[in-house]
Amino acid sequence: MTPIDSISPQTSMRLRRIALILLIAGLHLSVPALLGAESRERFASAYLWGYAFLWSVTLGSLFFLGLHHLTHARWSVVIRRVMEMLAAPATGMLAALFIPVVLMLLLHGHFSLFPWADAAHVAEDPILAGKRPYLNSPFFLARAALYLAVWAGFTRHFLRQSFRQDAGDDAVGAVLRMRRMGAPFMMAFAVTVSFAAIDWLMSLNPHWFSTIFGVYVFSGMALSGLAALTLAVIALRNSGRLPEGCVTTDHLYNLGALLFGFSAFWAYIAFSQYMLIWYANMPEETFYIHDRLQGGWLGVSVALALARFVIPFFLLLPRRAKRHARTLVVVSVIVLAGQWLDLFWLIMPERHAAGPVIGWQELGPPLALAGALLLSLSRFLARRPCLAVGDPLLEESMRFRL
Amino acid sequence: MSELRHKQVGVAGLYDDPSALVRAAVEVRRAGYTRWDCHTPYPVHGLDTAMGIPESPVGGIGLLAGFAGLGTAIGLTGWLSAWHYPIHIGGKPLFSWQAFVPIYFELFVLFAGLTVMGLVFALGRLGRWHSPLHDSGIMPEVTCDRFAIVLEASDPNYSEDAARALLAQTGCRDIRPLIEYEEEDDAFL
Amino acid sequence: MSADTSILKPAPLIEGRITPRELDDAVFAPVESFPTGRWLIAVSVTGAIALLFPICIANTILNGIGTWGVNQPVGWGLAIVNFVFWVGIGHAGTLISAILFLFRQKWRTGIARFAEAMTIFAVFCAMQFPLFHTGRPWLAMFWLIPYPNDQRIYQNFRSPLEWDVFAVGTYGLISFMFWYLGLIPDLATARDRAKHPFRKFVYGLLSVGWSGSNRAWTHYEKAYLMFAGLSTPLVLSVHSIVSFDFAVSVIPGWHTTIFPPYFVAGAIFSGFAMVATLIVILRRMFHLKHIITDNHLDLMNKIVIVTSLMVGYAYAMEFFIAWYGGVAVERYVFMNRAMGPYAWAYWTMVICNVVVPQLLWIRRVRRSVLLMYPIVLLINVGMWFERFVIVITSLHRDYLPSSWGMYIPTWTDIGLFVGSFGIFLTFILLFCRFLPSVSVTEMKAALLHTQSAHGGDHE
Repeated sequence: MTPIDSISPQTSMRLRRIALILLIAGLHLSVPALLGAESRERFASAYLWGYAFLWSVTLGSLFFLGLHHLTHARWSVVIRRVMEMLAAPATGMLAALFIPVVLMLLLHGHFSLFPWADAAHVAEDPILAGKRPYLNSPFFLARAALYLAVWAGFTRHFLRQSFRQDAGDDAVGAVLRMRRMGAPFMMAFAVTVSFAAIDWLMSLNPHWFSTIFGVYVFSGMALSGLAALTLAVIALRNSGRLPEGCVTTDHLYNLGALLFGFSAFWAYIAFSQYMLIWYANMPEETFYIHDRLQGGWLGVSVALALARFVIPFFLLLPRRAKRHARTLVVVSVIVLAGQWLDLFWLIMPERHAAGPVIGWQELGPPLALAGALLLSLSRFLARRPCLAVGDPLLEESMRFRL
Repeated sequence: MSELRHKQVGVAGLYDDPSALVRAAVEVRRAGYTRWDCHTPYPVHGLDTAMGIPESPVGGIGLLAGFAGLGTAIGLTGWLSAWHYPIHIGGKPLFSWQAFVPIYFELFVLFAGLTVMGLVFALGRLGRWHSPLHDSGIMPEVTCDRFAIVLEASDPNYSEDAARALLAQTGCRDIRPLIEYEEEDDAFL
Repeated sequence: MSADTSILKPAPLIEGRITPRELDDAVFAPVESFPTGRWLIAVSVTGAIALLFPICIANTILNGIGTWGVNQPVGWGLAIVNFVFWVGIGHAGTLISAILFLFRQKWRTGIARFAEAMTIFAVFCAMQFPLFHTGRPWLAMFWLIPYPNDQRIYQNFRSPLEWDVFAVGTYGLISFMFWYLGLIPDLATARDRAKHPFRKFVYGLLSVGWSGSNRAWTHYEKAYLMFAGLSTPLVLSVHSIVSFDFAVSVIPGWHTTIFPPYFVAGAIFSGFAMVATLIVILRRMFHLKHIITDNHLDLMNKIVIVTSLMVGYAYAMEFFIAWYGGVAVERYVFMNRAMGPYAWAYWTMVICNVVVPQLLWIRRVRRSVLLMYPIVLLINVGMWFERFVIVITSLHRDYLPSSWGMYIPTWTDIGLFVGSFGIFLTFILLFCRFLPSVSVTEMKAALLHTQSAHGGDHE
């Protein structure tokens, strides 16, 4: 197959330009936000918002990469490199961008992001005092370091083996080595993501608790990873970087079916959490849902259900829609918007109880972090071919038919 | 039993290989036959296209029925719980959709499932126990490992010689008459 | 590609080469031959055990629910434990037939039919318990199903018990239709293979005139896909709704949001353990080792370990959040589970469900009947105890210490449980005798693919 051998890394000037514009605009908005006392607090929440989005896309893709290896999947070999590209920020960037969160926690007086970090507040609240063995800054930071190290370690392993294949170096052995790490990765992933969700998102309201929360955050994460993957695959195909005949409508169908399935999965998890809390109506947990169903937040909650479940579900319901590239692009964009909204819904009510507030103070960090993500993708594309050219199963994967 | 009166109702050609069947089906279709069918031990990939069978409406109608079930469930729970027989339980609102969602979902699935099953019987013409394939002795081969094309005599294009010639032309080496016993309607008894 | 990539591909579906006719002969052999002595002994033993069920039911009906060990504070006893246990067993069948079908896992073909049959029998057993728990089951129909009536009294649709009526009822019906749909072409094969006119008549009647017509196949295939698509969310919903029975309450240890996915994972876990337990006997009894191979056991055991880890995750998360939530009674209930009077049940559950299955990480254990068998048996035990722990320990000590108490099952409770196993196993044995326990139709289609592809690799 000649076209495959000719695939080489290609810089995308357009992607880089968009990334830089976003990054500069974001930084431009962030600096003044950091100077004012009130806008600084809003900056803190917004930074977490943007960071959590970056985290979702990266780890969502890493999840599908790990799943690919765990299940010994063969159809997805053609899109494996795209998953690796999207997961690549986990090797270092994700940890580097966590540093501002660390600083905001340590300078709690200026940012007041996590209520449990305020010693005076905790002292007069017996419930928070009881949680001190878990919710304290040193332990929180140690856990975060552990999560980030685990994700970086596995991602590095997968990427290193994959790049070795490109060089034609023991390709079969590399597949076996990647597969061998599939199961340990999944176990580590389940534990770290759940506890990261509890630490970074649930503990914003340290009184509230829900056992399904880790699964809830995971379901949104998987969806956003999948949507990013679909968008990237279609964009690379349309721009000719992925050669003709590599990614067929049958591959797209699988992505569409997974998007459809995970939308339903998110709805299932979200409804289970909501309905059980609504039904039992116990004060120690209902307040969280109640806060999000009053004032301006009601509209956000309804929009969340629409963007996350109703619209993607009905758009993808016809069999034909799942293989139609343009429909998939529309759905993926809605799903990614849904992830922004979901994280907004989780984070922001803790800051603005009355209703959603969004101004330039909120926009800086998400724009800058989205820019950083795109910049990392463009750097990846400039260095590596966007197809796992060395994988011995590549040809079989290209021949995949439903 | 030995001297059952029977009549010939068509011609059947048997194949050993599914891909030969698919190729033959293209030929038969091209020859303009309308009352004909393929009989196979398992669904053969690509045969629907070869025969020119349109996509089955089972999926679409099944989904519609599912939505009808959803509507029924919304109506049933809402009407009974909020209007016809309103009872306050656990401080919940009378129309508490959150608590009805499980029933919405189950009736969606139930209606869709029953409709799909009904459609397979109706559209697939199941429940007609008699078939000339039994009388011709072809059925046991078809349900085991062979593939048959049946050209029915009721087809306006049909003539026995032409049908046999067409099947022979597709590479069929086992062409048999399709016969039907002229018995009373108690065939399966 | 010059490197040998065969190591990266899945193992062949069956061992050796087999023609469609040989496949029919192998699968229909138990259906068409006179029952062996072993089978007759087995069915008389399970039949005798099954008799316990009507005896204990008679006792329940004649003397009332008081013959069960339920009382204040434990108002839900073994009957509900058994209900959840049996519904859970059923879930593996639907998972194999629907979810693995949608994921195009070809290996499911060998075990799908059997697992689906198991689902139906398990759901049948499950339904008996809540039905007789109503006290007067002959009136239950009027209580449970909304129908226009003179009294103008209707069901409370907000009750999770009413959701169960819809969920388990739909599940039973849909599973049955899915199973029957899959059976129709095989029943036609049975009809055409039959020599005796009576056999021909019965299988002919059941196969509803199936003639393998491609004009029927096209609807059939679409319908099969639809059933798979409908059953997949259905199977999630059923055990989720069963979990709602507990989780919508305010009882500590019951009300926790992870219950729906946790119950579903547990159900699949227990169901796969049960499939493995029975299919090992089946393939030995009926000489199907070349069709249900060690690769099947290997893959099933992999799913067992995945679901075992999911269940372990839920145990751990529940424990952690019980502490993290800071609610005193919640903390107490979990400490009570691990160290109270029912600690033996709790630790049986943890050891059987989370600790022992870790042995399945070893490839040799997964593929050896002798080594895996004790593990899957223990999982069956452990999953029953999981439901016991959930139902009993949460109720026996809740908010009001003055009404704390213990639950001791009576002989009727135990007889019903043992008897339900008898019914289940008898059904399974009858199924294996009278219906093809492997889908020959699907198997032939799959063989065509794999054998020709396999042959191609060597050329």
